[in-house]
Amino acid sequence: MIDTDIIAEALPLLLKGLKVTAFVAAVGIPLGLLVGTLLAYLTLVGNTALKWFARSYIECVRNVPFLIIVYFAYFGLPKMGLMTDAFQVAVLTTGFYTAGYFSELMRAAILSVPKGQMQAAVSLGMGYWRAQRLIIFPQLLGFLIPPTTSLVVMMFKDTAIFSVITLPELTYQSNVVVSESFAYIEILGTTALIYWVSSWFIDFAGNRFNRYALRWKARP
Amino acid sequence: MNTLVTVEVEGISKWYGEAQVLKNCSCTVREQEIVVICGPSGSGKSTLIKTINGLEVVQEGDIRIRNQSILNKGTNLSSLRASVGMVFQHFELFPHLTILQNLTIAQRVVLKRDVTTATKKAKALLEKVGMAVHQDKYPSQLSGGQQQRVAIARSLCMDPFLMLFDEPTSALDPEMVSEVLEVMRDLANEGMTMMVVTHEMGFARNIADRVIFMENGSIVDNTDTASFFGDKSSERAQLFLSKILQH
Amino acid sequence: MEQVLTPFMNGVLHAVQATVLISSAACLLGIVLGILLLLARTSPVLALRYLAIVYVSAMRGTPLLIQLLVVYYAIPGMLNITITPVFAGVVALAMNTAAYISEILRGVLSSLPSGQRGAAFSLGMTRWQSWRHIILPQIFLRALPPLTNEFTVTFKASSLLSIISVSELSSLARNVTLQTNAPLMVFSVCAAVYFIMLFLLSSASRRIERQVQVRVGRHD
Repeated sequence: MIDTDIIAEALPLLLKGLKVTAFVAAVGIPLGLLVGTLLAYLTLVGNTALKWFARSYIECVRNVPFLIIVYFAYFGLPKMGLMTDAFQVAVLTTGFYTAGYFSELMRAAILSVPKGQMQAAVSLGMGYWRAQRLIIFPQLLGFLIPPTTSLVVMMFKDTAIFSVITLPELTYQSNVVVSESFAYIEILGTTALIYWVSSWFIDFAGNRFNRYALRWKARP
Repeated sequence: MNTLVTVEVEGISKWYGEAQVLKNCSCTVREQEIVVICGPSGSGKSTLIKTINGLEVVQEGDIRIRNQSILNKGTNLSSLRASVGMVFQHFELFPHLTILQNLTIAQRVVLKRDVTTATKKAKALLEKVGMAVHQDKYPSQLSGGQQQRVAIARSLCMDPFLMLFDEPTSALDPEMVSEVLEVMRDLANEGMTMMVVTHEMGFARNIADRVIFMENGSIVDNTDTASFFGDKSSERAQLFLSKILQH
Repeated sequence: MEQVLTPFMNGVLHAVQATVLISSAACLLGIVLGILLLLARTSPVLALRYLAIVYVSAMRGTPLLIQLLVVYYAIPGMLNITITPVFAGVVALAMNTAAYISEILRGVLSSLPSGQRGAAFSLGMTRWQSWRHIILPQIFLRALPPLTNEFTVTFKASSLLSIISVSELSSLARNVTLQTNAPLMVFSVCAAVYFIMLFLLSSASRRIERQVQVRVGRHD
């Protein structure tokens, strides 16, 4: 019933799509983590205006569907005189959206390290930034890595949306093959499997990293 | 001395997998007697007291409460527990219920008392432990000492003939210990039968009739209070006391 | 500007209604499915447990868009039936959210302090009474905030249904853009409409969370 020939034939194109998907994720998500960290610090230590800016950014991401933001960027930005192609839109919106969510995770993580840790470090004679790096950051990872792994998986999956702005990523290529062969089960199934394996891999890597970062914690 | 036996523990043993946590323990508690159980951490004293109302199951031996074996399949464990009060180290108030509701819920669903009766009883006991003004708060809004006093009142609502205390003050800040001990002292003076796992040696010395000392799952000493704090107790117990009383 | 927005404003009430109805229906169905999944996940039957684990992993590992296409195209094609886009959309959303809901409930179940059951027992409650009066109310209270949050996620995700031509808020915006060629204006207004609804929803969710915190706050 399952036509394996169709799958074999489509596989190179799908994998080519996966490359684009992976590339968008690999550039866009780290960009988002960077901007998100910045936003988190703005909400914690910025002046009123900066705090307000960061809050509105975060609320905007939390309360507007990704699809609408992608549409806005893809169809709207050129009207503002910014010439962008699908690839640039994909990377930028991925980064934009990731940043909003990540800043919330970062903020919560920063706040969950007990205040006494910083005080202890400073009273041992460490400077603020050295204490941040050597004492706070390693403890922060334990709160940060698990939810960040989920966020990365979420954003990786959300790149499927870029098929609607004709970015030749995995879902787009899958649609191309389906529209020619009408082999819905085979092609959509294979595509889903590719996403699934990739997500599983991200999860696995995140868990491994978490275990490494938390090796100092007693395990029951 | 009252000769009626309330609790009879006969040669109980318990294992967690390979590890034996109770080794052939026996003891009796008479009506109106106050028994303190002490010993180093991990000695099995908490496990012992939890076996009395069947929260922990033993593999060997027998436990009888007012001549009724709790290990007997015919025994209605729930109704037995309803008349044996238990106070926990971490209070275990029900966080989703107000203080008053914490005191009335078991009266209503277990004893089938009507709301008015249950509420009246609850209010009287809250008054007794000095918590009446907090009746509409939630447990998370109270201090540890206050929560523990409420927990004691909750048990008393069931009109128990025996009260079990599992380290009732060890999760409390030092300044809150005395308010809980005071409630327990009043209870003792009223003639309640009590088994108390505690490190509060002052309480043991002043209130207890008898002290049981445990180590490594065995009962090492089981003697009247004066002898225990005199020099009649075992070397192990003397060592334990010297460590605990040093500071 | 008025001319541009007229077609959007004409359809917006109807579109909002569709979006609200679709996501609510998906959520209710998702809760039912989620509870079934939880039962399977905690069942003594090994096969059922594995089935639940694989289902949850698959739903969390693949994009909603792909799931949507599978439910709308592949499965009806295989069974030789046709279903409406709305039906497919609601089912796909529900199947997706159910996976997350079952995990939320599982987490809440395992986070209940174990002493609670002991306390209920020692007051003489039977197993059933302790579930009915002590355990279940706490599960419900603790699950409420994450469930409301999951609802906002589903609400946002319902925008993807525009891709299989369900008429709701996002598809309205897309269609009006094609008519008027004013993407900046239309998508901004559309984003604002989403924002208002989701902001109200998450404010409500935050208020619930604060109230719940008082009632299930940890006592240690």
